Amino acid sequence: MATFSIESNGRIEKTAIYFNGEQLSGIKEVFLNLDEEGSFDAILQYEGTDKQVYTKQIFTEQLTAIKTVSPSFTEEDAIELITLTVESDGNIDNTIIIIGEEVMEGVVSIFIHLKGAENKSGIRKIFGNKMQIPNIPEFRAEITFRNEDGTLDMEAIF
Amino acid sequence: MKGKIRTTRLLGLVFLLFSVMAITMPDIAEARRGGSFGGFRSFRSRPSLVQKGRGKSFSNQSPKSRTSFGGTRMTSQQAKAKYGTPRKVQQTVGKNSSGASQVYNMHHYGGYSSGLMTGYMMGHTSALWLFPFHPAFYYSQPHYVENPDGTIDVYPPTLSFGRILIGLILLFAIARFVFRIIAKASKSRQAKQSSFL
Repeated sequence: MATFSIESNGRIEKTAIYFNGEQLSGIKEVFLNLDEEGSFDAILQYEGTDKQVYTKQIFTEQLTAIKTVSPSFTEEDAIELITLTVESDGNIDNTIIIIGEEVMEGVVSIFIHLKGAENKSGIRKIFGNKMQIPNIPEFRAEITFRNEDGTLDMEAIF
Repeated sequence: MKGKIRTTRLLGLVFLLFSVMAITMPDIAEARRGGSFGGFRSFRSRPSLVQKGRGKSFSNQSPKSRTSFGGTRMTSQQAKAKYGTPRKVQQTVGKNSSGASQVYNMHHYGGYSSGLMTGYMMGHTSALWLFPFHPAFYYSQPHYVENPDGTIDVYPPTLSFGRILIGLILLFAIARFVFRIIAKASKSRQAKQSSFL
């Protein structure tokens, strides 16, 4: 069982991704689409230590050459952040969703799409042309619960 | 990363300095040439100024005369009306390249512009005058009025609103550049906490 966590306040600049307790770096995109019908898409795109871009299934593939860093958020920072943890072996039946410290039950689906904007470097960083269509960061994180009366509730996670 | 930021800052600074020089260099170069417009043949010879009474040559640079060519010819009456009565009129004799003497009447009104006028007449201009952080940048060239008797009245430089505008634009550009660097640095510091690129 691998553990994949996202700690965030809803902004990409304040989002840390952990895999088995280690904070990852160089992440380009995270895509999680899990539902009770059996859909299990958990994809991570990252720039590896060898500068290659990898796209991997989080729970079933080896995260080759992934960059890890020491935890960047302090405990004080963490107070303002929400942590979503997915524990899974790649099978929806063996998947646990934890938000904060609470294990979620009655989850119908979870959809997460996080994508960082491509940073400019060098002189382009300062004299960036705002007339160009910006590469806007994407931050979607929704979870759908089934209530006891059978109705569905969709909530934002962060 | 730090090296990149430093290089970027340096490039920006060099760019700004070149911009300032590109804007102002032609003016100063023109002053040093002796005031002919557009690099064509000049009919005014190049006198070397000699301070009266000493006989010592200060410079072989000719002051610019706007009376010969140009659209803003000022008559002696107009100059007197504009500037008023001078505190002192200093007569300076310069020699042109053909050896003929040229008499310049420097009208002193005191203050910074009189000092600037003296500097121009002596050919003591400085590269610093090209930059907006030097007060001389904001002044025009001295004004020259040719008299019927052949002498030339020299009036002090005046504040140039065009230069002030350029100075303000450059100041704004520099401030914007600095703020942008600070904002980017703070944003990148924040972004370092994120796992995303």
